[in-house]
Amino acid sequence: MIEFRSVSKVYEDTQTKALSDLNIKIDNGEFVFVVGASGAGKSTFLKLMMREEVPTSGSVNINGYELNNLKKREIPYFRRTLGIVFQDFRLIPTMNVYDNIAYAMRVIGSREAEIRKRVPYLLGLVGLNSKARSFPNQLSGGEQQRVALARALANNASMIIADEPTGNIDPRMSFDIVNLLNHINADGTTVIMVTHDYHLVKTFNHRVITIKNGKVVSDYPDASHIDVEPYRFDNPEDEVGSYYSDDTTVDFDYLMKTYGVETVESDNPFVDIPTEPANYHPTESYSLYREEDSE
Amino acid sequence: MKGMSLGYLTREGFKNIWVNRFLSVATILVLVACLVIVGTGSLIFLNISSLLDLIEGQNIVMVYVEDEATEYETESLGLQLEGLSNVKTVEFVSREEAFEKQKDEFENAALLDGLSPEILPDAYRVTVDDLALFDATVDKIKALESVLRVRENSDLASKVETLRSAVSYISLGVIAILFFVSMFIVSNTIRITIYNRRLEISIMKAVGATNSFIRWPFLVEGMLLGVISAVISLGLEYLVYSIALIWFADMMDILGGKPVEFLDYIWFFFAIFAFIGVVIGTIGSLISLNKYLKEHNNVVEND
Repeated sequence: MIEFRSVSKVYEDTQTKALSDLNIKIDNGEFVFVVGASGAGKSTFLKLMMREEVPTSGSVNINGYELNNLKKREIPYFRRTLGIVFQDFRLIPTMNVYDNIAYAMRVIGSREAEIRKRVPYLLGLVGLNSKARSFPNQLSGGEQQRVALARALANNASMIIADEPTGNIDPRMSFDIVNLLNHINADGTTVIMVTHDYHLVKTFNHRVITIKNGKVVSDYPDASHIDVEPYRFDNPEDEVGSYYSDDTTVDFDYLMKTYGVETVESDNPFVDIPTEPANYHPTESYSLYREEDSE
Repeated sequence: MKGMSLGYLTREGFKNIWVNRFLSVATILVLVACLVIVGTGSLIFLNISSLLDLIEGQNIVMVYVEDEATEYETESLGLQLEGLSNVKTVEFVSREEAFEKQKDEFENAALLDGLSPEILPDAYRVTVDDLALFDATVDKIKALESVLRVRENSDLASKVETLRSAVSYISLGVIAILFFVSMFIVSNTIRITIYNRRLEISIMKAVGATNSFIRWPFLVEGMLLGVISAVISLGLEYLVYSIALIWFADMMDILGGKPVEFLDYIWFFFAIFAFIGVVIGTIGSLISLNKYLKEHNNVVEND
């Protein structure tokens, strides 16, 4: 269970107000999408959940741990109740798939006999039994993320926190990943997924919490109220080639990062509207697609 | 910590050395250089020390007994001498013995024929433990009853003592400097290993590994670098010393001393090298680790 009670967070060094009076309650077994534009405070939200930061005011309680009062040496034990999945997978390139998953168990002192039983089970769960001896660079983005998911589940976490897990994966694979999260959720594991992907939110139709300017601006039990324009047209049934068939599907996040296009705030948590499409030419948009992520 | 995972993390430490093998070799070379210098310093110290012992052994105080002292008084003086602190040995030399000795050493012994031992006083030959307290001891002896006079060579004693303390201070200074240099080198090596393994560390933190688990492989690496350096240094020191002996054997001979045998001290040196190596390795890696763990607490954002 997650409970944020009137949580505010101000970063001392930069005086940035990242969160103000945030109230969120997520029960065990829920599947929640957390959406919001870049800079809305999602990253701080995650840091507070991981007990990497403590709130300036308010309190955070996760899985029965009162995080404000948690002693330094208790943090590792608290984190074992969470499974974390990152946008960039974070697999260790020098270890094969099996060892990457086993690593999470080894470093908390699990017995080798236990590891030999658990890892094959997890590989089966994410459908990668045949890839146990492969190295991360031999896998597609989607497969790498599935390994990361298996690793997050290795220590029997009761809660999966996924930080834009589909951010580096093509639409088809993204669907698979969230589908897998959905299955894991169906077995009772709480899933919190931070995402930019409108279509996935629509498709899987779970509770959606929108964070904007460090506040919860909406909290819907399902995605039916989410009716803003998609900025990604990534129906899982579609082929990758059609991803940019229309100018409206350009990935503005990526444009911003690449060309430094200024944005203004929009009410749509999925979209940062560029004010000046400075170096942007629609005809070149195909080449802007991050090729290394497509498989 | 459970045995199995400790074994795994220990192997990780071994692996670090191999993965960063060039850096490891460089570190070991520096450590070996430092240890050999420390070892050479110690050997010089040991040799001077053994030479000094020789000189010290000759540093005798002759205590002459007053002529009018009775047999009882003479004996009581002997006991008092033995009772003094810092006195190593007390040996009675009767005037007859002294006379015989003089006759033996004197070339024109015939000249002494007309004389009787009565011209010589009884004496005690006293040797002193600690040369640093030589003067104080002599003063104490002078203050005793029935002492005629004391013949001593405090000048030699003080020179010998000065030399010995100079050698030990210089050795200590050199060892201290090298200790810090080596520690810096090892901590630098571990810093680079940590940098190479920051992904692993961030994952360890994310899945809830305790700090002691995170530290262990780096500690093993640091300690291992120390032990490897110690073993190499030991071999090298033996070689260096054997060569040095060929050069310096003549000098030692002239001084009347015998060089110290390296093999007599091999365990001493192994213990010292291993100890210094392990301490330096452990502290060196802890310095870097604690700094890293304090400054880079990130799980969400990987740097």
